[in-house]
Amino acid sequence: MNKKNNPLLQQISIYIHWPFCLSKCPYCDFNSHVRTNFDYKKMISAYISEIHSIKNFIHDSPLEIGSIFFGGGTPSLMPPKFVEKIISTLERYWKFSDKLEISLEANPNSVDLVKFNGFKNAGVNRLSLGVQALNDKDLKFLGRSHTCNESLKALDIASKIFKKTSIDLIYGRPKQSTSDWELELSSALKLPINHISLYQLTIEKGTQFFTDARDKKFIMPNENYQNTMFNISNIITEQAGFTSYEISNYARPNFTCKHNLTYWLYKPYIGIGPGAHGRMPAKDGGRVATRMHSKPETWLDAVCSNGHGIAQKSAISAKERATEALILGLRLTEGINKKHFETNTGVKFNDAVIASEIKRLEEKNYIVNSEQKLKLTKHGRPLLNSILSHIVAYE
Amino acid sequence: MTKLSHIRNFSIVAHIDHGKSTLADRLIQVCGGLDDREMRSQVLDSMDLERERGITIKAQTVRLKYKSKDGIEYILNLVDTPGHVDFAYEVSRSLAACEGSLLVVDATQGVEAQTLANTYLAIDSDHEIIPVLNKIDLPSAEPERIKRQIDEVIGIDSSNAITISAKTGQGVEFVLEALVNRLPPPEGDFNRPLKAMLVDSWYDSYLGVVILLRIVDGEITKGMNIKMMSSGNKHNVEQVGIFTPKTINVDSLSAGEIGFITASIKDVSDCEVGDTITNDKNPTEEALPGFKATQPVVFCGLFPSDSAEYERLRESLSRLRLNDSSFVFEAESSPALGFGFRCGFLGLLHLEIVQERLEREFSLELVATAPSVIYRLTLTTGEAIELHNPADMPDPTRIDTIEEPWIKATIIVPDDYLGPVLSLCEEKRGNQVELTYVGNRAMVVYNLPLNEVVFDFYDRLKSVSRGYASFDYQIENYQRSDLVKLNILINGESVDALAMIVHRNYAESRGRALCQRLKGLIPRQLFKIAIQAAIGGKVIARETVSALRKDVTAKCYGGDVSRKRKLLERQKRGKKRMRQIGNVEIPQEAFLAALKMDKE
Ligand SMILES: Nc1nc2c(ncn2[C@@H]2O[C@H](COP(=O)(O)OP(=O)(O)OP(=O)(O)O)[C@@H](O)[C@H]2O)c(=O)[nH]1
Ligand SMILES: C[S@@+](CC[C@H](N)C(=O)[O-])C[C@H]1O[C@@H](n2cnc3c(N)ncnc32)[C@H](O)[C@@H]1O
Ligand code: SF4
Ligand SMILES: [Mg+2]
Repeated sequence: MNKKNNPLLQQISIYIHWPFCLSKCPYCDFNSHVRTNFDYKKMISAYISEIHSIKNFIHDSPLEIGSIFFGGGTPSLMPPKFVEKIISTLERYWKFSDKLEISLEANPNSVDLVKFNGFKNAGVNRLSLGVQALNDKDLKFLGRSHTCNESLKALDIASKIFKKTSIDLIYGRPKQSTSDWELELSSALKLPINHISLYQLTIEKGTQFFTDARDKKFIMPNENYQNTMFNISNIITEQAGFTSYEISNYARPNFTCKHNLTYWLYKPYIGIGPGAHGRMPAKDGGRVATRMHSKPETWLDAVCSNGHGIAQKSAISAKERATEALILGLRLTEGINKKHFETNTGVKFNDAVIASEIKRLEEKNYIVNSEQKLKLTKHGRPLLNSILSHIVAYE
Repeated sequence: MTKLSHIRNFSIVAHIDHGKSTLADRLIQVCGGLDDREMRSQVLDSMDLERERGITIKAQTVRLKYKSKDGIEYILNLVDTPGHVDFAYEVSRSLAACEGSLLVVDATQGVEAQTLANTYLAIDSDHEIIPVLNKIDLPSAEPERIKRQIDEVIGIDSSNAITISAKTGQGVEFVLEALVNRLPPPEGDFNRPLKAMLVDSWYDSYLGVVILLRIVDGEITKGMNIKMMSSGNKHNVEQVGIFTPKTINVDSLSAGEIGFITASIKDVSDCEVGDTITNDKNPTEEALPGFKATQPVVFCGLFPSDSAEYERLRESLSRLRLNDSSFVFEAESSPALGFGFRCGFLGLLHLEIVQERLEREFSLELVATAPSVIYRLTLTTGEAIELHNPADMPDPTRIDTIEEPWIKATIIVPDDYLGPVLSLCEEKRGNQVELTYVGNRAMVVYNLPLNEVVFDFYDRLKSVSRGYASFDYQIENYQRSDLVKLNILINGESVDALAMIVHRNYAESRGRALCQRLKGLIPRQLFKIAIQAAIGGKVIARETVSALRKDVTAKCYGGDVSRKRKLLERQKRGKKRMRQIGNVEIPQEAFLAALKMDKE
């Protein structure tokens, strides 16, 4: 690793997608696939060759990697050797920041002490564990193949190995009362973690839950209920010393997820692996969007014949960049720094928003608009989508 | 020049769908106007809309040659007419050009409301009437029973009615013989100065303005200088011709004949139907009596969905008017719907047809406000005004009296459905005038406020009678009434486009229904939305659309953002089509659905 941080170097993040899971959760619309016989050995060389090809697509101004994220699917199913090989390949092509954060998502039932140590030795320094619920009944409802105890055990091991640990929980489950959630979250916050993601259960098209909800196999809590749970989450996490820095993310001081912040701050990143998306830096200071083939087999074939699995590569116009930066940036509690916005998108902030709407929503206490920043108020945060549809100027 | 005694001019009148156009097809075919290759069903219904809906909107004329059993070759001028009440004016002027009528009655259905209405029009025009019972190829045909109906209900002799199938052609030769033997030839004098009746005019993209004429006296020739007697305007005749139904040029048309001319006339409005045309050099002394001008009775606002289309809508309306002078329009602006036009029509079907032609022939997307009638107001100052648009209703304190138009409606219905039809008429504030039974059917005559009829009467009548009731009406008079303007307010702002004038007794229920309806149509937004119905300052119904609480996407990472952006962009584009009332965005679909309320 290089020693000094060069302020002139543009920072970039790397997302690595591992598309396999042991089973498919009924709510999940992520690019995850269950395969019993798959030639995993071919996968590692494919990742390496895709990294190589992408490196050649990026113009040659010096870059420095600020974060790497192994997401999924279930990346904890990867052999630690794969993880190590990928990290060392990345290091061969780019400088590593000395504050480099390397995260990996783990499922509680696919890890053990040996594996966690293997990941650590490969360079992983942050572990995010998919706990989802802290009672077995709900875990079963969510189709998870682990128990609550297994989660706690996995977390215990992880916390001894990794300095940074995080868990994911899903709330707003059918039949979950606000007090259930209050208790559950309170006990979660006592676990050995310094970061937590709280996702409201979302019924996505194409999932098992979508059909089940439509067929009234269960009833989702209504919006008021969900909003109350959201408010409770914000209060309880704060009392426990976590800061809500993004709609669904909470961290103890200095433990925000550096990688995910790249997205929300609209910084460039490279996506590697089946279904991964990227926003690579373009010569003109803009962004090139990439999307890889989603199906592992298709991706693998593409990489074998082309060196990469890109399904779509397109320039993102200045207006599109501005809209994307608004969609992502306003998720942050901090809001959008207008100067950063302008350097990142090449668009004047005031051109990207509708001034009269900003004023109107500010009067109604949904947003705060200052010289430097635009951010949502507590009142406005749960209504981001509607607010965006009012203030975004470009269509 | 054809000898008058060898000419027969006739119309075909009937209730809608009883087979007029199909009979016209057969007559054309038998007389060889078109060969088999050129023939198609309802060949005279040339508009796309007519062909699709299977109804006749514009009257059509055809000249046929028929060699009768007496060995003489006759000229038959056939005028096919529309059956629907909205187009009754087309029927009357067609009738004025003829001496007799074929009265077509569907032998499976019998006498219906427009059979009656159109027969009376023919009797008023002193026509000789030949009853024709059609569709006898169908097993359910009951010609004998229907003949008795014709005797009893209409009161004309049906003993020598002709039974035919216009579909198969059975009996059509008897129709032709009857035309020759039973209808009188036209009267007129070839040697007198030209006197011709302007029967119809329209704009044809090849020929320009075309005038359909019935020559009463004299002769019209190519090159003649003619004078329109009402305006004194003069034109030079360029073409003289006939339809067989193909367009054929001839040298002249003379007394008793029907045909067309063109005379480089720019404006259809210079061709007033019923006007007398004469020879400028040798004019006739007296003009024909003419027709009563048609008056629009139903009004609505038409607005382009996309405000950028306003000018195109204006042009399209002007173009349409070239062929249909019976509708009127003037510019209107609405805070809710933007710029558009207030349009007047002969009835609801006419409204629907004009709207459909605009959408189809001119590819316009339109928002139409609820149909309304003309109210006559006397203000406290003594001033009298006509109100075409509920939004323009003055403050109640300034109004002395309001009068609304009443109609006399004739409904013929199988007696199984009589009960529900009577209660519908009562509910619609009707007064019964007459109730007679004819076999197992009833004929009811009601006086009804037109206001209630344009609201939802047709659809309700159709549903309570399962489609078996037929309906016809004529405007009767204006009567004083306790009418109020019902305003719809959204977050306190009144929505002009949803305002309506209703009888005080119905205001509350209509208001409540509309508020409930809107509640279901307006999506929740950042702010709470109050929907109110009010009369003057008094709120009579209220609904609330609660504010959105939470809509933020739980998880939004790298891959989600493209999807999210596209969704947002689509949403932004959709907003352009939203109507802004104060701070509330109302999707256009909500407006449309609210305005269509009467349809469900
Ligand atoms: N079976 C049978 N059907 C017929 C006969 N004559 C007409 N029809 C059908 O009845 C329907 C209506 O016929 P049209 O000729 O369009 O009726 P119309 O009186 O001109 O109708 P409008 O112009 O709308 O008033 C069509 O579907 C015809 O095919 C007949 O003699 N026998
Ligand atoms: C795609 S998963 C990958 C991590 C790992 N496979 C797991 O399941 O723990 C990342 C997180 O997204 C969240 N998630 C996935 N689908 C969701 C949904 N429909 N609603 C809410 N959260 C969801 C879960 O909390 C999950 O931990
Ligand atoms: S384990 Fe994670 S990625 Fe796999 S199906 Fe379940 S939620 Fe989706
Ligand atoms: Mg017809």
